[in-house]
Amino acid sequence: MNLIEAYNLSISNSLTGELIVENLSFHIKRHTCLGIVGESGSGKSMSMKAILGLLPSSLKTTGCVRFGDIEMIAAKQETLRKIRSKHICLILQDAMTAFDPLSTMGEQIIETFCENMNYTSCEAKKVTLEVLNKMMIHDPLLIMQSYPHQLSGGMLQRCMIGLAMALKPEIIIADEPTTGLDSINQRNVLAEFKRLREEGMTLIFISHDLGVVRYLADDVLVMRHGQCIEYGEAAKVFTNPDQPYSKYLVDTRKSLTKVFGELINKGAATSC
Amino acid sequence: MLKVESVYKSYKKQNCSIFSSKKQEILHDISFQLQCGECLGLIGESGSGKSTLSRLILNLERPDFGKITMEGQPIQNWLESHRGEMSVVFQDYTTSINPFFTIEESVAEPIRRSKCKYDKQVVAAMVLHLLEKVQLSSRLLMRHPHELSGGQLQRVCIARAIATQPRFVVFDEALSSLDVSAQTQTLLLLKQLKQEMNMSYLFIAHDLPTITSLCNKLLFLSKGKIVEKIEVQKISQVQTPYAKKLLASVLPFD
Repeated sequence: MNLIEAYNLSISNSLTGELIVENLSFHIKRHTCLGIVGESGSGKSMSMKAILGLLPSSLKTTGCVRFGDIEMIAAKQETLRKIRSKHICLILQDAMTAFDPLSTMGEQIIETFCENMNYTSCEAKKVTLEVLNKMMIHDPLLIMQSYPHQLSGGMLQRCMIGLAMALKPEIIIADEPTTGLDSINQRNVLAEFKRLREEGMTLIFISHDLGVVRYLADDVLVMRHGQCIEYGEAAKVFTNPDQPYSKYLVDTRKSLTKVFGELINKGAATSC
Repeated sequence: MLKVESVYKSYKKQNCSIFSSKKQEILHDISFQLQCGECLGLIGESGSGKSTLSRLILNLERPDFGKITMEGQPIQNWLESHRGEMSVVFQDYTTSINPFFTIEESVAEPIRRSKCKYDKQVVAAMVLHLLEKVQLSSRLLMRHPHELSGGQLQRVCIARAIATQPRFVVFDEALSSLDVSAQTQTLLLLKQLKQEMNMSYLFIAHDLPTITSLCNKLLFLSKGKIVEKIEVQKISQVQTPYAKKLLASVLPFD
């Protein structure tokens, strides 16, 4: 069953008439993960924001996006807000600006839980500690007392991912969630996403790193300059891409790890 | 060339009163050497003190204890007498470039500020040559930073860093915020520049694949200490649990 279906999604700048995203069509089945890859500026985040009605009014969205029996593009802000809090969670790339700078992390997270999950503040606090522990944050109590500017980007990113996971939405849209993280944290966060996948969460995972997408996604959508270049099963796109651009992305990613792979293999060969 | 001897650095602890004397140690007994023409990779997770170390080497901050010397001279003296011979590329390209300058002005600034006085035309020609070196089109000269993509802007930063023909360049997570395809391109560029201009690099990063394809030696930094030094060729034989963990965290892709 398809959870989200998008047909001919286009975004244009209503002032200049410039097309930002052109005729994007895709669908996500329940319990699967859709990966969206492309270089920066290809319109990946823009299309996700358009689905959730988060774009500024100067950008015009056309097309049809169905979530269950709701038509998202034409839906009222009120409906969209409900969907955003209960059904679809968005994890943003820029964790620094995603939190309120004027209240502590603890206050914000607890408030979100009380608002959306009907917890008492005591329960919410317990859940918050649990979530932070799960995200490998060393000193959760200190983090809860800190303001966003006192934490590193990676730390904030993990708080946000933990928060989204604890809200138990139907879909999580993760927009470059691992980009600012170092490789150990990246691996931890990915493992957490993988676990969510196994528990049956539906995911849309946006990244410019094909390695990460390959690790998680069932289907892949390759984007460039606002257009869909290739859309298909992940295994096929990564091993045998149809389009030269997809091949270029795969090749550049391969050449990045080539030397490392060779050194490791060489080491393995000599130690045997 | 560069010698770092038992350097310590600590900052005041966060969330404490300004009068408190509690300190958080960032770097603990750091010692290493970098030979001429070498490319040293410094790897560690966020918060391990990588950037602090680079700031100490660039003399933007002073260590609490320990010595940093360049060719036998203390770093601050060396920097004064060898202007333009050390430069840096930071991770955050948007904040490390003046938004009011055009690309031409940004790249030309270090040339104008150097000891030699050049004619305007010579400077313009040099800027053009530098942009060519980092594979940017001359059409970008009159643009402002916000009109360029991240990968292009980072290449402008690299062009600016090599403008005075430095012998030593520090790259502080210079590739981390770029796309994979842009990373690959920039990496090739750095390799090529290193050969052409015979520079030494200190390359700071958090992911192994990029660092191994560029550097000959690796330092693993964890919680402010150097836990392991190894030659890149022998990377599969790392001993410490931390280095092994890092190695295991690399996503295979083939």
